[in-house]
Amino acid sequence: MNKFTRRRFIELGCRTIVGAGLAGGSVMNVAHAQATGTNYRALVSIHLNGGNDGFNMIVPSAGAAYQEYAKGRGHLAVPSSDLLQLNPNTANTTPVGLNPHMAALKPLFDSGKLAFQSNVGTMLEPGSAEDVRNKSIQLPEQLFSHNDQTRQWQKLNHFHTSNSGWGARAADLIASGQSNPNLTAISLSGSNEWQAGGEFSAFNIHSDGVGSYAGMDDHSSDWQIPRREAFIQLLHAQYNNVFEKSYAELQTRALVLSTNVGAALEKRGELQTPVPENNPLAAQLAMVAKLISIKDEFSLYRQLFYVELGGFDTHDYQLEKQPALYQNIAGALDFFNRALVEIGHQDDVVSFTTSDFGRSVTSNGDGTDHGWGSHHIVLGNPVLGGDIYGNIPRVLVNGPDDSRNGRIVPTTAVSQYAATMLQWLGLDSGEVEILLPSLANFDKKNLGFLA
Amino acid sequence: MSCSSSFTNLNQALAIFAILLLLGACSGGSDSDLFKETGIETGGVSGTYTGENNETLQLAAALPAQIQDDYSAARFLQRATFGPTSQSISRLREIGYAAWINEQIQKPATFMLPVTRKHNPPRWGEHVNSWLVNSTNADDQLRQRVAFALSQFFVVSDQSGLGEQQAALSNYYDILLANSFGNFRELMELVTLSPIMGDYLSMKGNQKPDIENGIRPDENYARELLQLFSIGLVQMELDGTVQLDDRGIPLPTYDQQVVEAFAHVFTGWHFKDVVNWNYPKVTDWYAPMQAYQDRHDQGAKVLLNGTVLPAGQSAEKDLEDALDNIFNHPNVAPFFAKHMIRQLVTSNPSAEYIERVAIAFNNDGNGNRGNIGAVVAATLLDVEAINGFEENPKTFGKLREPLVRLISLWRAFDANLDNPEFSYSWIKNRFNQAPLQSPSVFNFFSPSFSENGDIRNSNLKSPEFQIHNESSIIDITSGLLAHSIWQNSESTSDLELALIDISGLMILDGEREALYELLGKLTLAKPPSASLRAQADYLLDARGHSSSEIRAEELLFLFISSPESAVQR
Repeated sequence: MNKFTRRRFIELGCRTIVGAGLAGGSVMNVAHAQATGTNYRALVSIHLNGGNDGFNMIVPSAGAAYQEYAKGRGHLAVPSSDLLQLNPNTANTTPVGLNPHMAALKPLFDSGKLAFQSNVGTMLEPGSAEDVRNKSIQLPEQLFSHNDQTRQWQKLNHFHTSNSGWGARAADLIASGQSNPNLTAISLSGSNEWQAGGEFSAFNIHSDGVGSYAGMDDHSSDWQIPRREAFIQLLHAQYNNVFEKSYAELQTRALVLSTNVGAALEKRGELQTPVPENNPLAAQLAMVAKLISIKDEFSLYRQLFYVELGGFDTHDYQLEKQPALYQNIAGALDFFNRALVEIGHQDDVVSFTTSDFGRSVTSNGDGTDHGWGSHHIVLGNPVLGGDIYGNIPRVLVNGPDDSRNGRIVPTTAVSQYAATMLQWLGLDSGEVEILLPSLANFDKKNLGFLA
Repeated sequence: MSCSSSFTNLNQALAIFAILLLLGACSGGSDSDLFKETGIETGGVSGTYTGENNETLQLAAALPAQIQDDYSAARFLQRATFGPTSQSISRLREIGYAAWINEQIQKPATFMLPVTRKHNPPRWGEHVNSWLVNSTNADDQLRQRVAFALSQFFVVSDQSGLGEQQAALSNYYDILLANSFGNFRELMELVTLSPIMGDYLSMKGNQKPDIENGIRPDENYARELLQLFSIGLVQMELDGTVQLDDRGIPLPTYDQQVVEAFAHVFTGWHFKDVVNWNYPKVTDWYAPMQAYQDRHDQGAKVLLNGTVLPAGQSAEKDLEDALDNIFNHPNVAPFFAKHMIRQLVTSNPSAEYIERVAIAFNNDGNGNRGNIGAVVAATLLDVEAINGFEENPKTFGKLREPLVRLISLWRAFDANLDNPEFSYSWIKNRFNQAPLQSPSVFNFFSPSFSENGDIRNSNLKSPEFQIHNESSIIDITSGLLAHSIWQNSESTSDLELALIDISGLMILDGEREALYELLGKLTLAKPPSASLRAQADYLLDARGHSSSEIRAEELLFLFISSPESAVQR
């Protein structure tokens, strides 16, 4: 069924393109007319590339807990007087404060739109730091390696049963029921493992929109038509070599999807909400908001978006780099919340952070090294916000939660974090357990931060 | 096993043996002599090509040139250069693969720094401009191509704070160029001590533990040197096969403690002659970093395979011993062999192919380990490289890098980059790739990337696909159009960009067979498919009343934008 759907879609799409190119007609005919606008839901994965230092994002703010943190971090510690005190709805045993450079998140937290999930990381089964040190539980492969840990976060396939991301597996369940399955998963930041490996490829788009095939986009000029026609016909040829074939398929998707999405975006126009300048994350989220607002053109009712902000691998100059990174995150999330209100989808979208890993509690002089567990942000009206979920670990070097030299053992598994998201998206618990094999090892299948 | 016995084809075995002898005989040139010839500002440069061994040269040259046709030659030149030209195809057919490699190895290196220095102060992204000029124009094409492959192994990038070090980035690239046929161990050391790398992966300024303040050494360079620049994460057989434990899980090459030990090794290095460690007044971006013993950790260190560096060693001695420890790990040969094969030849080499190249790494035939020239020769002259197109047409080859597609166009059609105002430092926005501008130390793309669909479903790899997506492929295609249809005559207004010369196509106007053959050689390295011919016919018919220039440029774009031109074979 899926194969058929895909083939048919491409055929249809290309006919539309060629037709549009030659006749100058509408290119919006790809989507079937379908009931739209009901029960739309979207997840936005915000990947903080390089390994975000979550332990500087929310910090134990007083007493011995702060002293433990400050001792490990040395001069990289956020001064306790700078922390913005958070007052969670459910009292967490450890008082915590928000990094002052994330001040823009505090109103969102206070108004219940934003929550933190404490100390998430790649874990295959529950275990304490002592279990980790004794190797009495099965440990994830290649801890502390950027690409391996990112891959594990995004694939949740520790048992090597499939070669796909959990976003792609979820999208596969949803996509075949949508008229434009190739727009189920959309990336604003290029290829990523979260959305890779499914039946339908994720659609990639720049934050500034769809580029044009300059020199081939004028559908009426007689010198461009043969050029365009020959170029497109060549994509339909049979290719025996896998690289040629895949390239032709990618070019075809680009032609069809970009043309259609581009036309819809152009019709839609700009957002009213001002986009923060010099903030690449905000720019990507602005495009996500625009794409959500044109979903009805493509009859989409479930989508998964991927955005990314880089620069988190703060081995050096952390004191200089981190404030700007945190201001970008906070500014972008605050903007996105307002943009969703503008387009009327504030109740339909949940955004969550992911990262390679957390960072070491210890300092290397002017930065931190690769860690493991880390705090994460969940944003959106469906979030039961104003709370910190899970216990704040002891941010203490060689303390009870430290695997070794300040690498804190996660107390929440990525699979639990993902499961919570996927249940909200509408997958039932059976589907979620099949999608996330290691979830079976954890009692709590839903962390409860989503209504 | 001797180096040559693993080759099935006698001629190839002889050819490689001859080259290995030559390379072996040529190692060890004097640093100071080389230094004069090169553009390299300061610092050691290992010997590369200074020897003259007529005997081995004759042996290589005496091999019969078994190059079937121009297409076969073009395919070889797609791997060994930035793209075939009519002249390079002729030269290669005249002297044969092995002699051609010998000839290339002996050509003087064309360095980047002198080009970068032509603009003083350098313009923004000048190192990118210099790379484009040299990659297109330089006569030492094999060296240029290999250096580009090395730049995607020992990765540095201007994307995280080094943007103003244009000349020093060019100087770093010159280290790769100077050692493209040199020794891996020496190159690893030059890279390690480069202040550009020192800054990029924060080894510069890394110091011994400060227990009182809870500060421990920076693990950045230690980890990435092991993971990306030498042995990789998992233990491999000589043929690149991953070794598994009894549960089927890959055996790691090291653990966190080993990373920490190497982090301690790489303490005590900073810019040459810093007066103040924390706030260096002198920032020499060219000289190798200097050791400052009082900042170096003096403790014992347990490295790979349990090798112990005793306490009390100097920073230099620790570094030498640690690099030896890495260099002698059995993973280096298959790890580096895989990289070079994937860069130059094919994304999915057989285990046997990897093993043959790894053997050349371990012993160049002259008892030398780590001879990069021998690895290059073994990579390019392997039966699988030469015959893959015929024997395994479905999966052999690789998607070409966008930059390589552009330079290949420029080379084939004699682009003029001589205008002193030539400037294309924004090229990344168009081609989604630019030299020394990878987004991170993980390069533009991962060797394990697998494009969704047939490739992924067949468990194949396609690294270069990682920078191709629905957005970037539009930009790349538009870029190819701009460089073929718009930038091919003096009438274009933008003199900063390279103009190509399509008179060779215009002369053949009306002679379709000859046109298709020429374009096949230069842009496909094979005859055009029936589909491509059909579309070419359609296009020429449709533009029958236009000028020969228009027909030539339209045809050129159709060829270079075709799926068959996107692939190296």
